[in-house]
Amino acid sequence: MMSGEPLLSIRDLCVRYGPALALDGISLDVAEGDAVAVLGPNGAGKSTLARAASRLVPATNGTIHFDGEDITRLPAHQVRRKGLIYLPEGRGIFPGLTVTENLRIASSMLPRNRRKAAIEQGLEIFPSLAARRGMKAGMLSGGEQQMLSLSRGLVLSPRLIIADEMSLGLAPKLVDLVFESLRRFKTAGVTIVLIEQFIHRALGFADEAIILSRGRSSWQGPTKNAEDEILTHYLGEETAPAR
Amino acid sequence: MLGYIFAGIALGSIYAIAASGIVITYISSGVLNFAFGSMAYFLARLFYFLNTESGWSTVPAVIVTVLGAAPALGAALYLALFRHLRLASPLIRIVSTIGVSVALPQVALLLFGNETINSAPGLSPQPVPGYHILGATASLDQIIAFGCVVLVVVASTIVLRLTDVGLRVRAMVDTEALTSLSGINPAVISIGVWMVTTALAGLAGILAAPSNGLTPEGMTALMAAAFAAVVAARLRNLPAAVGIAMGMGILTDFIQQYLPPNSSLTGAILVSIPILVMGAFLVVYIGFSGQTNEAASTGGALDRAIRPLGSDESSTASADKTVVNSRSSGWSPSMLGPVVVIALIALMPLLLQAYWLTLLTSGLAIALVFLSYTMVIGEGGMIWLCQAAFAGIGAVTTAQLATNAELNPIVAAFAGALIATPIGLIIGLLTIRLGNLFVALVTLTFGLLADSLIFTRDQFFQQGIGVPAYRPDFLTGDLPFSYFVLAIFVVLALIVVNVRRSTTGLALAAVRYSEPGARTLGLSVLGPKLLISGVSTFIAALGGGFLALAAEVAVPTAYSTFTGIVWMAVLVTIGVRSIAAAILAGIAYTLLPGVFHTYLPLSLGTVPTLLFGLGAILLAVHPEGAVARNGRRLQGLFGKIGNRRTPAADPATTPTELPEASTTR
Repeated sequence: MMSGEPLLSIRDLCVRYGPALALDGISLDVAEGDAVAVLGPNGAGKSTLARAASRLVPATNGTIHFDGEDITRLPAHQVRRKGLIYLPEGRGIFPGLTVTENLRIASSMLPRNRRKAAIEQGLEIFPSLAARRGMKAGMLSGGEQQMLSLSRGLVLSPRLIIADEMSLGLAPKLVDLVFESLRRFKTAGVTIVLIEQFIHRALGFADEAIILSRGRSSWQGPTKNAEDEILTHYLGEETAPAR
Repeated sequence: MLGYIFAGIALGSIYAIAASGIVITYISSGVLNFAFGSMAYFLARLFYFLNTESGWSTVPAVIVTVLGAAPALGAALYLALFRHLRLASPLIRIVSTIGVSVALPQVALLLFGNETINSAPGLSPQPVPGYHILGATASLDQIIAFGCVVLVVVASTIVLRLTDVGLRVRAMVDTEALTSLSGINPAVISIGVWMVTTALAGLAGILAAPSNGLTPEGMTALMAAAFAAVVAARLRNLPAAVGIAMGMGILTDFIQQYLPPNSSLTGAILVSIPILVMGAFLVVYIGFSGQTNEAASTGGALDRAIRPLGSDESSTASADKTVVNSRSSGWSPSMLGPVVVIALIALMPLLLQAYWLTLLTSGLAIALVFLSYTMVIGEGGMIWLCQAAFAGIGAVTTAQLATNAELNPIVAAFAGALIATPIGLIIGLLTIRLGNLFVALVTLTFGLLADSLIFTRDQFFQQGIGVPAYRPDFLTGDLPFSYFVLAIFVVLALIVVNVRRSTTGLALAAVRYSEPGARTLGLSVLGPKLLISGVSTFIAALGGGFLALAAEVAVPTAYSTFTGIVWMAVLVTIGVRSIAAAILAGIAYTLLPGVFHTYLPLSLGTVPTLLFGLGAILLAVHPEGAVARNGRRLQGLFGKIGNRRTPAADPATTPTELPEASTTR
């Protein structure tokens, strides 16, 4: 899929939720600065792949390397400290904390003298958040919560962002805003793994794609070749155009 | 009157400190710490050992106890037990903390001796100075208690609202998963929270010792009162818990001035106030919302999404497979174990001599009560903590009917069970829409009310000697009586097995595994749960009646709710869904202490209780119980031998699509 040392390298990853095998032998390489779209129908294992890569759920088999280091057994908070950020689906915010406190938590790994500037930077990106800095995050609208989630990711200058269904349930204008923010990250050199329901937007954004089906990788390759494969793997062989 | 209010403020302050500790651990870890009273006792006893028995002055003794030993104990308990409980089922959480509450006082008795201490010095110098305030006298102990609660409230507000540490704690309360995704180690925060709240337990214990004395039971009862404030504050509202705790303390001492002194009724009313407060708040909550479920309020969506499938039902999942398998035929290999166990136990009365036969007979009667837990918790999935109260009602009714009304004792035992059954049905009806933890708390409330309002009545209590409950002539000897009780056990066990294998049992298995899932299938929860409520209450009360006949006296204090909780811990440790476990647990409960008392030094007399507690603690790691675990190993061994003959495919190696698996929760 790529040449050179990948920033994120996953090999033969298996994950179980109790008796259910959610991921079965997934391998994926993501080069630094690249954007990779993870696609697949509901229940394919996309979010599980993201949770396993961020070490939120344990891998039952396989290895995960980040920047050449084996992180397969590291706890989630240590993986985060290495610069891998997972923005979970369904608003990655602390609903009981205020907007500012959400950003304070995100910036808590920085030296004290840099925290205030980081929080202000996080608020500047989305002006509507700055106006609601004292409000509980759980009281924000869905779009504002997603902005806060992105803003939380930004305060620490991440190296890799795994964005899980960031556009879920948002109005089209806000979806544009989410993609614009992600593009800003990408332009800044941040590597992005994008899990997304809007397939065409994801393919337009990413350089590479992986399609998951029933916990297995059914196709991987450059996004320009992915359109036909998506029909096949989402809707079955019969729907694919003749090759 | 002001004097009573000062005393009430002091009592309320102790409740408030305890309630703060219980609420903070609940909202940060999801564990309602039933061991809080035992922790308070252990640390207060350590303080007494240092301060009074070893001659240390107050300041170093309190520093070592509250700032040294308490955090160390909290950290040790977290590392050994509490960290396993976040994803455990409510039953395992309750039983494991009860295990600590059983084991910890026994450790204290082993370390410090079992001297009865009716009053111990607190933090003020001795003799305790008094101060005249507005014409009434307040003791320095009372002032210190109030000062401590003010300090705790102010310090915790500052820490939680204004510091980074507090922010991290509040973040973890919101969602632990996202906290770790923010680069913060949740284990470090959890361990810190347990250290602080254990220090609060130590402080509450030391402050309570002057007025409450130093006994495990007294301290546990006092801290149980603090639970009332915690429940009234819906488990999560810290300021409300502190306010209600203070109010409850003042109310208790305010009412006391209008009640006749030295009356058993006065004692009963005072003990009942926190329980009535808890009951009133629960009724209000149930009345307003129709249902109360604590599960929805713990952790965030991400925490629930990453929770392993079936983790909530770890204690029942394997057994549910047994239900499905065993329905296909009249006999299944899983029934072999209980049959062999009962057959071997049936030989024991022939082999044992007088003392041991008496213990065995009591054990068999307790096994009847244990079967009621098998029914209500194992089959019904309802965590009822009042089975001992039902057993007590059965026992006192049996004694009243047999001795005072001269009814045949066996008929009296069955009549007692019938009298208790409607109470169980009403409790079942009231709690049907409640979450597991609230079911446990409502039934705990009922049990404690029965303890304080029913079992303390002179008619039943008789100054502590109880009412005689003589056996019928043909069962006077322990040998025929033990076989009679065993026969009753077998009949009741067959009823339990029959319910398990019936359509009702299958519906209950479905409800246990996923109540919303069962509803989508059109299964009604009401009928099966009411059936279980009634049958289990009948069995518990019948067991209580036979326990009274075994002892030939019904002493109500033998059926206290705390005793029942220990019974439950013992049974769940051995296996809450197993018939064999019920009878083995019953016998172990009486024979093991007998062995220790007979063959080992008197100082080791507390070891069996300690072992029961440790067994319950181990459930955090092995939630299915000893009999189920070893039975499964044996089945696995036989299965391997069978598979060598006929190799079969392993379904676990086939990938399963997640949504399909989710529907089986």
